[in-house]
Amino acid sequence: MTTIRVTYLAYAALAATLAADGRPALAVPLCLTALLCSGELLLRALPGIPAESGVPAARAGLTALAGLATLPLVALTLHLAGAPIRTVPLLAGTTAAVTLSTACALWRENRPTQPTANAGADARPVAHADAEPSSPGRLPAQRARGLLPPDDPASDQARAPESRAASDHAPVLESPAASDHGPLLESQAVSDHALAPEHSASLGRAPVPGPPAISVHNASTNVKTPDAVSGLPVNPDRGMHVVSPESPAGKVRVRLGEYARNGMAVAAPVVLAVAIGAVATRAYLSAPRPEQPGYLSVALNGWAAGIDKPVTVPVRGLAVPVRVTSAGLDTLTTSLRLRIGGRLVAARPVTVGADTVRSLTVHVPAMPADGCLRAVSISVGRMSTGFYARGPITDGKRAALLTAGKRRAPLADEHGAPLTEKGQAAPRLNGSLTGPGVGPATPAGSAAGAGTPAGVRGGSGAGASAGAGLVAGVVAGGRGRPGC
Amino acid sequence: MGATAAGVDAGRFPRTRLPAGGPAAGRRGPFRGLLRAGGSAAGWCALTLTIAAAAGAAALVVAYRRAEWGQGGQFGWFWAGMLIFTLPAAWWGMRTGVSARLRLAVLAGYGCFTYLPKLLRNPGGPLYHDEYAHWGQSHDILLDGRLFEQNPIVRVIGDYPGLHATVSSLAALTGLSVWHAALLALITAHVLVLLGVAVLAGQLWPDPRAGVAAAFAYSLNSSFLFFDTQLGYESLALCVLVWALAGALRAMRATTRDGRFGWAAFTWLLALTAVATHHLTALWLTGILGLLSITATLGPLRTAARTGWALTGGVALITGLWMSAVAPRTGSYLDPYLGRALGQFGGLAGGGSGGRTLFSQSIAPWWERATAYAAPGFALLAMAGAAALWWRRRRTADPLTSAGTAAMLLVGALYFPATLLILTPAGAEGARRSWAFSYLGLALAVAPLIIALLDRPRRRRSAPRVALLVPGVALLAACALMLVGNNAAGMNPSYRFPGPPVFGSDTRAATPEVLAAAAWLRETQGREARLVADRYSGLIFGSYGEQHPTTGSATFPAYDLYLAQPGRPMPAALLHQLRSWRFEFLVVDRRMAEQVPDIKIYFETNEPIPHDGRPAFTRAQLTKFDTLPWLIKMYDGPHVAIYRFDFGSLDAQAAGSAP
Repeated sequence: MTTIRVTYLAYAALAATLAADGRPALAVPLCLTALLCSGELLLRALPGIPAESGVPAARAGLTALAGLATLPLVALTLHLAGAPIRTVPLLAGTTAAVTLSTACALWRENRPTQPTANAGADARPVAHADAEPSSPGRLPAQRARGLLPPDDPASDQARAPESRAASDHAPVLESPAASDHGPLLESQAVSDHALAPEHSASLGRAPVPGPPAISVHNASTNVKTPDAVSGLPVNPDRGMHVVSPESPAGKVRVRLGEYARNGMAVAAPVVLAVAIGAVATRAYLSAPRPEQPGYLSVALNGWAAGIDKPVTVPVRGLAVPVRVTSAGLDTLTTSLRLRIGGRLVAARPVTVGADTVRSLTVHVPAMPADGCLRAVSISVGRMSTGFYARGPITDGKRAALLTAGKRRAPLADEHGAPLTEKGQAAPRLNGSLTGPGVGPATPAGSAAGAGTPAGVRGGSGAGASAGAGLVAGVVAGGRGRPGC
Repeated sequence: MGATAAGVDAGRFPRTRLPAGGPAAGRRGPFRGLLRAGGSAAGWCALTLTIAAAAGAAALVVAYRRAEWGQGGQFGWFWAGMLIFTLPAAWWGMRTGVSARLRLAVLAGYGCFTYLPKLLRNPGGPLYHDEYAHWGQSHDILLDGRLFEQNPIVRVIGDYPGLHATVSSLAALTGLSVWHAALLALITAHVLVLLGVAVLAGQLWPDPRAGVAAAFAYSLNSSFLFFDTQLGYESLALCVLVWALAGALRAMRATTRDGRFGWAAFTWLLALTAVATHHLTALWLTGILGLLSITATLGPLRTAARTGWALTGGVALITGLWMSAVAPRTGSYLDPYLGRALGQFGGLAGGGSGGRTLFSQSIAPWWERATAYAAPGFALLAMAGAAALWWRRRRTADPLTSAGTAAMLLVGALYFPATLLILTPAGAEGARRSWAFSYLGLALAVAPLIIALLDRPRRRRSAPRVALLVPGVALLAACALMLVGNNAAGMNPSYRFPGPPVFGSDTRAATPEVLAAAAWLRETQGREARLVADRYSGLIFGSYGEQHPTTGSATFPAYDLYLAQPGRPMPAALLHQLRSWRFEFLVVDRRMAEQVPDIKIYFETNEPIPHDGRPAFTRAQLTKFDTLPWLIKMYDGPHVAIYRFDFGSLDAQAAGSAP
């Protein structure tokens, strides 16, 4: 595929990725296509197309890697430009990268062919820059000693080559100047003198100065590869078919089929592996798992979750919302306790259903207006939460509050729940139930002490203080000692 | 063996005959061509390896299920599953009579299969310690669109955004979740590593079997299955390093200025990507290029050597600039892994204590431990053989091949002293990290030796058929031993296998309770709050919780909060630090007073806490926070409590105390 076509494909894939609007089923293949095109263009722009050597994975691998590397490089560029890493800037950056790579690749492909390397170090094969050139037609000593694998055509054990199906091997390699006719490929089988210099070098070998290597493959002649002439290791699996470099074009061309076959050689096992992996993963995930350990937790809820310093409890007392969560446990009944200053003020049983989140409101009674800091602890079973609080500090009101507190705080019944003025027990705790993951409970009554008291960070917004659950605590009777 | 058979078995020619219409008749598309080229071999290969992969995957699933339910036997099932596929794949990849394309297919399939253990380990989200950090970093980039934000779990990774930028970009472009985008990138990188090693080997030896041998040898290293498959920056950077080296060798081989420059520019671009992704990889890339340049300089390779030095200089410049301008904290981050390790090793060598007992309290079976001890010995043997082969061929081989092999021998030789560092607490982690790099040199150096051993019987015309199998069988056995042993040495069982929740295990710390606590904090208090936590709670709060935990360090001993005895004052300097840096919460896991952490770490590697097999804390130390007026207990569960700091009440006294 020509460079321009690859570019058009990249643009189309990028535009389609934007249009896919984050739908993975569409966006993933489009994005991958765009990245592969970007990688291919980067490859064409910088080093040119590599020849395959050994395992034919060089081009495909470099393309994939270059495409993958496009993303962090574009992201870094966006960062330098002060743009956020978001979909539109990423697509714009990738488009710019594609455009830049295309420009470089086209310049590289269409610039005048450079003269073949002149005498000098650069013209001489790198590997043998200062080494003795091998005599044409003579094999390196390592081959003579049989150190090459037996399937190497130059090894002692190799026989006369059989004819090969021409369709399986690339027949022609084009020079960069004729890029519109096919992909570029550096040939390992053709010497530097036969090709345009920028694509004349090959992998795994370095040709020596000497007469141009001529190799013609057909069904009946023995293979005489230029590698053999140059005296360098031969890749028996390079899969290329070279025409005479003395032809007018002096080029070789690779069939698209070669790339498609290599692509299939990767795609087929990947598809199979993905299928097997998906089945295995699904089987593993759908199988029954051991039960995870359950837990019961208690936490400050609503405005109380924002408490960040000692709270001043108003005269009417304070309604503190708490959240009780049960997960992985059976329905259980445990004690809800209120302690102030270390003393048990109230306690009553509370039932927590299995896998539920329950919102309760605990009424903290007014505290003595002595300014002493007291620990307020609300516990459910063994778990507890709490904060520090103090009563109002106004001296003038101290006595009045104490008197009022005595009138307002009835005696507790045998369960610790305070009695009303009429001598009846206070309403039982009946905080509303919610299921796990559900929002705050439905308010069943307004909580006493409405309004965010001092010492609370505003705007926590996590669950209203709901529920009619009240635990009216007996006033603990402040110690009234300064500095307590 | 007849000429035709020899040519066919050599893999150079298709087994099928030429079509009647001559070569042109074969030009009928890729599918028919693929079938033609070594058709029956490809078919048998596909069939056997598909069956092997299915059987291997099934065995892996059984292994993980048994581990999860505590039924035992997971080690046997796991390695049976791995070897069921690995050994046939290695056989197909390195046998003669197989086309290069089929070898490519085998490598691609092997790369995919070797990702399966990690995929099954945690298919749905991060699990390893570093995965939490990298997932969180990628997640934050997706949310905020900003690079180079500091990470609360692994502080230095924010300075190396390559992986996170890749993952978050993929997630943004495709709509995939961060985790699935990461899987896509990581699986691609994992397969590309194998292909890259084969291509890199192809730069040195054109025999495709050597490339496959190098790739399989590299896959035996201890990091290949689990560490370099995790969501971590090394996983991506390693892939880039391998291909950068291939590009560098290509540049050194180029015979034209254009070719050299083109490949050098490409290598530098990949080097920039590697440097922006992972610090150690950048350093290793610089070092390996330097070794290549040295060996090329010592040989008759003037131009190649100059090219090598130019590449080394360029990469060193990129690395140096990045580490000085962008990531200056890298040195202090890496120092504990090497500096202290060397110090501890010196102490050990001098007869002191402080060493580390290998496999202490490990549940790994005896045969895993035995192979773990034997694997370095086999590696040493292989290196010695590779060195001897290189020496023997040094005058006949291509000079750049010889120089490249020498460089790889030097790189591989670094594997052995690093192995000794595993004996020190501080060096164990650094040793493991180095193996992924040094093993690359080892694998590339040993590849021609493997091929030479395989070919040795064939050279003897009178060798019996059985003799042809001996080297192959022996090599496969060695492959199995190295695979098992290296992985046993390189990764704890709790990382490799699932199991019941265990306190003090990175991979089993994500209990429902901790996850719920982290979710509650995020929902009620928002994101990015600074908090003090132990290592395991910190992983969850720092990733899923989207907070900024700190577990303490020598310069910021946050763990002193926990260590302080009840009734004793807290270190004033620490409180001042916490207050001035606006720390908001303290997370306390009371299991620290009940159990010993599975990996013997409470907070961080170099914590000043005794590890004598007993819990290092008392319950009183961990419940004292309930009575401190400057801590508000906001959340409590069976084990985990969350307190809010109230530094304004530091001098307050409270009446009574909370139970």
